Amino acid sequence: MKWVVYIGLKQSDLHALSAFEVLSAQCPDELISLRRFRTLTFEAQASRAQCEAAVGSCFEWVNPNRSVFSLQDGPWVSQAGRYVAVQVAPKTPAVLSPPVRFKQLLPHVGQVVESVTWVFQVADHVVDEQVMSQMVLSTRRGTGLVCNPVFETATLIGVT
Amino acid sequence: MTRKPTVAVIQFPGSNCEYETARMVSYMGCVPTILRWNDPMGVSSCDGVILPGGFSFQDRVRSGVMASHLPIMASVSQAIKQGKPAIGICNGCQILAESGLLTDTNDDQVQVGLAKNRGPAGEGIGFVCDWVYVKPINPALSPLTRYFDAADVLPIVTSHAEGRFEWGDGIQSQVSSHAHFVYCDANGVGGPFPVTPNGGKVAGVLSYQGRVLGIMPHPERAILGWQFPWALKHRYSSSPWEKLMVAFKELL
Repeated sequence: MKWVVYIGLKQSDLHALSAFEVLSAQCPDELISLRRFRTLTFEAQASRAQCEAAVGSCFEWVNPNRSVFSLQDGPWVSQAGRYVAVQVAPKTPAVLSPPVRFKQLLPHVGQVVESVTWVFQVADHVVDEQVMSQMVLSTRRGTGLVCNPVFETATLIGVT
Repeated sequence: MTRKPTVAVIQFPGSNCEYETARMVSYMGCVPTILRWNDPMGVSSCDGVILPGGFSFQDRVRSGVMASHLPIMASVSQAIKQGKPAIGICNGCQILAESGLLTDTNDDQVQVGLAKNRGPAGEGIGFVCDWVYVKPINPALSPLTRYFDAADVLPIVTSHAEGRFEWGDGIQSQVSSHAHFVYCDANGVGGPFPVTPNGGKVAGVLSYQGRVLGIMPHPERAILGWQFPWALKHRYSSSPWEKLMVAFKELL
């Protein structure tokens, strides 16, 4: 089964803050807030509890003093408002070597692939294509930001 | 008395090579002006621009992308389109790429990206800082590289984590037919890591009729003969990279 882990910071995420500063200047009436999650995807024949225990015990990935993680459900799902979640990944997949502890707890785990999920809270009138073209895809100087389409892909993974 | 040409060395928040770049500019007989990122008007009074290396805006989001959105990059774009020469070194090269200034487009379209370093098996290898060699390809086609010879093998310091050139549609063939720099060993032969420190062959590209150079390794760390370590077993009374700076000065 495919598992997705979203790892966010408990404190302010400086990457997200800077990206918000830039994008809110470009799209002042569209963007309300912006969050960023390091995203790990892997295949494992294991229960949700086993996966949570394995990820939670890998302090290399999730430092409990500063990070929180959620498994499968995007952290935007239960929140009020309109959210658009976009996963940005290199075209050549970024494969991580899992920590030893992770492999001990999930012995038959497949490749762990890293990406970044950006969660845009946008005004109700904003359509998904607008988010992709104005905020995500950096096609020319001053347009888009979080994905350089020359070597990265952006996938819409969730909308509320 | 003739006026010495002035070169803007742009200091972004997080740049860390601006002073050695300014020293390189002084060494070639020009006047360096270290311009802060929030002084976009200053660019127009200079004859050329150099974007130095470093970690602008802590490499937030993606190396160079935050700086590419600053008003000063609009001024740099304007200066380049007026024919002024420009060099982007390391993070400066990443900023030029994210600003759409490493290919000849009128609307600053982003057609080049600098991806994370990779080893021969495609594995991430992180930050690499080492002496490497590069050689110019088609040097006669660009005014900035015209004093190099195709047989030149140039030692230089590389110091980056995201320096693998990736190309948009049709761009790679354009780059191959123009002047550019590629990684090689001391004998001028290409190869995998560590000859190529990031998994890509190309070390630097030229655009805007060869007046703009984006280069990932650091020529400012190899501009004086004494900067070369004994371990390289090369002995220079002066640096081979002087040829680049002489050509740059002539364009000012």
